[in-house]
Amino acid sequence: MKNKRSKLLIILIIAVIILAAGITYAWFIHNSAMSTLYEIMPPDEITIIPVSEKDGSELQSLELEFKEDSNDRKDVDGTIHIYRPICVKSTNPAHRLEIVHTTNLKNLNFRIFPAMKTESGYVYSSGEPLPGGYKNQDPDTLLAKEQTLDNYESTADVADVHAYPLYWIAVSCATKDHLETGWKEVTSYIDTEFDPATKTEKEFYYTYYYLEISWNEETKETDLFYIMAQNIAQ
Amino acid sequence: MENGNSQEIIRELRKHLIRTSVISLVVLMVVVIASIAWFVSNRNVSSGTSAIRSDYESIIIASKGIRQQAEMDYLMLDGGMEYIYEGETYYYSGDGEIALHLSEEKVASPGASGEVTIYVIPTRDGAANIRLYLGLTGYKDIGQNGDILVERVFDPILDAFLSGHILFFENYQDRQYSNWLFNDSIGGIINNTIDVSLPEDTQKGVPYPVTFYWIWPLRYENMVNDLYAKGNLEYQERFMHFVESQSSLSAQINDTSYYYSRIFLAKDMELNDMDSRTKAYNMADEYIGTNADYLYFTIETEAEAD
Repeated sequence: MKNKRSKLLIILIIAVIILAAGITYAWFIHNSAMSTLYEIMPPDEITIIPVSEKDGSELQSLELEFKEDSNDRKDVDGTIHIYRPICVKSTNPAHRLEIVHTTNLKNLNFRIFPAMKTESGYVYSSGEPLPGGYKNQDPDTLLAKEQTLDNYESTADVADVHAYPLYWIAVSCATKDHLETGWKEVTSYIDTEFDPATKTEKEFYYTYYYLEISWNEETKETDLFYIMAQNIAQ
Repeated sequence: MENGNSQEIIRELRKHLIRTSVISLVVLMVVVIASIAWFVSNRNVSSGTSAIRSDYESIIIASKGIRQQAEMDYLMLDGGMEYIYEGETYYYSGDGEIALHLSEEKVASPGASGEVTIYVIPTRDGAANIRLYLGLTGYKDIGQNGDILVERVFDPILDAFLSGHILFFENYQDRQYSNWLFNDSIGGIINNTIDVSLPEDTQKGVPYPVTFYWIWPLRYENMVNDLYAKGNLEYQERFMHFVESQSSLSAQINDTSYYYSRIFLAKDMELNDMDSRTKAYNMADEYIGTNADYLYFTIETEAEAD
């Protein structure tokens, strides 16, 4: 009796195992997987700050008026040149400068020079101006290409062509180790700042530029002039 | 007589009890085995259909390089078995999950991108087709008092945003991405797959490299310029399909500040929508950043026994 019962039990158990395996054949599926964890970080920061302070306060506006006791000069033919240093503060060693300006003033030109900073805080331009190009310039008029504004019904409402801004984008700049073909190498100064949010030292790149803006002051005109800095996704 | 009877009854009852408990035990075993099998086979399933089944008995995928710090600290996966070929060490998985080795330490953030090369080590000569699944989920740091502990974030919105913001491509040349690996989407979660065709002259044991690229576009305009505005109809259709799949999720959160909201579903990519879409894309990035601390990335393949 006992023998029969135990035999029956064994057969039953084996039957169960075969049944389970047969239905699912889970053990015969070979699964190969490779995994890892990446830390998710916030996007890179970038601002333009004034040259004198390093406390991270954003440069709100540049004084573009002619200053007597400075490098600014007035040519004989009436062309005014002004020179302004700026600093790009970023967590990413690669960035790009962009200039946007309207075209009311005659012969409004500009050049952006990469600059160096001495120990004592004196910023001087060094090297060739940044290459770049206008993105929306009409080749004939040299003004901004006319845009058709869908929202406006009559042509009388179309704005003056001089009010359309011209977009100029500089070549991408990066420190030596992060250069890609076609980019310009710039010297960046690295410093760390304590970030109260993450309670760690955050590394910032400080890149200096000297902006030279010139125009012909015959009539009283006003232009809007913007300089922007963008991180480049690497 | 009475005693004898009760004895018999007791014995009868005991026999009955034993029989019942044995049967119950067996039934319990069946249930447990079936659940484990179901659980294991469920783990293997990736969303979407797979028309191509891997041809091998067991696929060996391998990687070489270093392990990511976050994986070593938190996931603590198996390092894998070593395979040395021509002086290089490849780490491969037999069955189960191992650490993905990469050429450098990487961080996931808006604007970040990377290149991943893995190796298929053929177990026999000749041509074959393999499908690889790329998976993305979010993990959150839940350690307290210096404890190191992470856990998976179970949030379909997060999964959908992750799969919508981190894009995989097969090619990257001259700063242009091409051959988007987007295959299918279910409930807004995108299935990314790579189909690898091993050529005729494939030799057993020789690692076959498979390279792909990932990018988390910094701004919405990067995504549009690279994918949509190419003028390639296939891309445009795919992109609209992709936007639809993402936006079908937003009904749950019912918040129009997120990019993949129903509002943006049917409209064309007009420039004057760019500003609002960019803001919404950034909001979705912020959702990712606040809900997940780590990105769990998996490369998976499966094969069936011949």
